[in-house]
Amino acid sequence: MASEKKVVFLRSSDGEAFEVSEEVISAASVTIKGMIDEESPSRADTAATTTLAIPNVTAATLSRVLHYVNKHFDAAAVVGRPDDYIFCAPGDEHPLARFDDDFVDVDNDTLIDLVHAAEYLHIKKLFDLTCKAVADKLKGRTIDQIRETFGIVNDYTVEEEVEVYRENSWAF
Amino acid sequence: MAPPQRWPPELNEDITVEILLRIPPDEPAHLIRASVVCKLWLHVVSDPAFLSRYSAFHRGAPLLGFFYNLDSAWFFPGFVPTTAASPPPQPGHSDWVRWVPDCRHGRVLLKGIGSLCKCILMRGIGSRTFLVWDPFSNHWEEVEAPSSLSTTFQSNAVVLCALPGCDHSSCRGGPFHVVFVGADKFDYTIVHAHVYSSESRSWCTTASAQLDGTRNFFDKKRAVLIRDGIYCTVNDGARILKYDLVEHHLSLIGMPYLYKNVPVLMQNEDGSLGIAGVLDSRLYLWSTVVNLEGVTGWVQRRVIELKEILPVDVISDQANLIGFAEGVEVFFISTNVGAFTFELKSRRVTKVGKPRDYHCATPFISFFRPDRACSKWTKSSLAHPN
Repeated sequence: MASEKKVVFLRSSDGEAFEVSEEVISAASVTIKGMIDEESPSRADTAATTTLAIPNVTAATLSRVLHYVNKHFDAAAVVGRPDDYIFCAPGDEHPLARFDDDFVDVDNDTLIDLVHAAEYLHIKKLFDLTCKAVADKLKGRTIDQIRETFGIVNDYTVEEEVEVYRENSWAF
Repeated sequence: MAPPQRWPPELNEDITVEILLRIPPDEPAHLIRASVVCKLWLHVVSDPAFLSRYSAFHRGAPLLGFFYNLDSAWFFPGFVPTTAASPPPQPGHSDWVRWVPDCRHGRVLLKGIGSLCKCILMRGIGSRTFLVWDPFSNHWEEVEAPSSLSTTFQSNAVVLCALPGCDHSSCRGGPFHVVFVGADKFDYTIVHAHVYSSESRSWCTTASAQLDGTRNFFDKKRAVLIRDGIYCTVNDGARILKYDLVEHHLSLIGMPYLYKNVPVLMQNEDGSLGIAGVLDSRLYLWSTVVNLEGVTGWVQRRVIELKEILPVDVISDQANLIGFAEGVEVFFISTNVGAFTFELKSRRVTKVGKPRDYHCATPFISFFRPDRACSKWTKSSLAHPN
């Protein structure tokens, strides 16, 4: 019983629509699976394609997220694609390790946008990957650089900050 | 078309927690540095609930360094960090501490071997006093050793968490046991096992045995705990003394080979008892195996050429194995150019300490706990983050 694969369209906050396999995005995103399930009764007797609004994610971020989703959750893409070998080097823990490394090798704003999108869309693997990448970025940065990078306001008073530094002087 | 809507750039508390959770535990300075970024971050990394999650997320605790005892009991023991930055682990009364027998489950066991004069000066703290010390909070408890024991050199001791079912990732501050095995004061052929309970604040003698009819000399190498058994080397590495914590039974196990330096006892990855000894620039690893008849014997598992792993300026046939860190599978090797760590899995060798007469090394394996390290000021600041 060969039926054509269902697709859904995701509309980004800036109005761009992206086509993605319903099966793939349902496997990846708990949030979108919930949206699709909610829509299901009304879709049963219509051939119209569903468009879901993703109001919190821009086109630039959504396109990256879908690139990740298609790579990780589309069984046909993961297995047997001849170009996959370029992402897999000897010693890699899994075939997509290199892809993941390249995926998070982006500027801070893009990475933070991906963290937020992964949290909103509830894509656990992507959330893990991007949070880990942010944590890795903390290494080797000064405290001021960390504040600047993540737009954090220093709410210590001068005396408090001096005390925290003094108490933990071994760490600096 | 609607104007693009973008997430606010700041990290909310939930995402901050998730990011800080993924800071690798192998460099404790990273968590401390995070706490200085802002009060929210300090609040997150000092929250015991976060730290429990942190321990569970990263599973095994990292190696932070090792305490060492020197060949001469008249020199102070010390600490060698294996991380780039390390909190200074200075116990109270550090000027009288002469021996660090054990470090386990977040606690360090220290013992004084002081002179009579020093005992009087230090309010009676002397050769019979143990300290159970939390290096992060710098809190310690004094425990007087039982009086039936012989000289301080004829014993070994272990500290362990006494909380049933504890995974030991965050059990500091809870009840503990000190297990002390040693030769009788008057008859060295008799060995006693004593267990101290922090809850009853008392010792009980749980087992006594006349073993092998010989005088039992205890080596100062760290004892190993495997399931309910405590194992330590005796008689210059010729035998292993086992004390069963459940059956309260003392027994001797033979060594597979008599090495020049006392071998290091270890728990193998499969949970079996192992030893590691050095002979002619080679590191030999042995495991205990049980045959079909139920008899326990030794099998040589691996031989590692030290010349191949240590730097060229090391006189490898003089290298001495001083300790093993279970869980992280790291050996400590003392050489003419300094102390090295040797990671068994990756075969990575790192110089960590200057040359000294190291006798043995006791690994400090722990998650760093900013909540126990912070001062009164930090605690009051946490109570009122804003």
